Amino acid sequence: MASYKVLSDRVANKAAGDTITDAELEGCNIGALIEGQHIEAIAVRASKSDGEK
Amino acid sequence: MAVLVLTNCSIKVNTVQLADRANTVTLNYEIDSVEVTAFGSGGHTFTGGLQNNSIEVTFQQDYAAANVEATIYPLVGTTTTVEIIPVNTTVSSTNNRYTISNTFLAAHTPVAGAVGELASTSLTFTGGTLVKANA
Repeated sequence: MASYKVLSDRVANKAAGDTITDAELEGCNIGALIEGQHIEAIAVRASKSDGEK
Repeated sequence: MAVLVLTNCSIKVNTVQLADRANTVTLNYEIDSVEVTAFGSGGHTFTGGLQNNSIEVTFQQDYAAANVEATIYPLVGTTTTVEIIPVNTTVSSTNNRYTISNTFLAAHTPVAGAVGELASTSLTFTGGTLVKANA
């Protein structure tokens, strides 16, 4: 499940700084929300064990 | 609830609240009429087909970050969800939430207006499935 950081105060039921998941954004155009600077993807850091595989 | 003067709608496009930049909104709920007239019928008879919905909304243009232009421009040529609530307060049986999913935005006017007028963009979302909810 992908998560995004909310950047604007216009996203429904969220405030800037909150986290929102793709499940909560079902039916929405996520690319357009990113392009419109409403949300940004949260980078997922690879765990140490991932690098050892 | 008695008659209502629209003063405080909620209009969310792609989950973005833009009501404070909108000044007109119309939600058209329509079901295609499919003719089922057969021999022996005394007149045309119809049955309901697919939903044929549309939303018309006018936004006062705003080029600020995360505002009207930034929200609408990337949606052209794509489908999204639009939600309208007549009064921007608690949803109830007298204040329903109307949500159209998979509605298509074909056109947008990033710059429109005459000298001395407010810049605006009038959008028409077409298609999609409407759901009316009271909770």
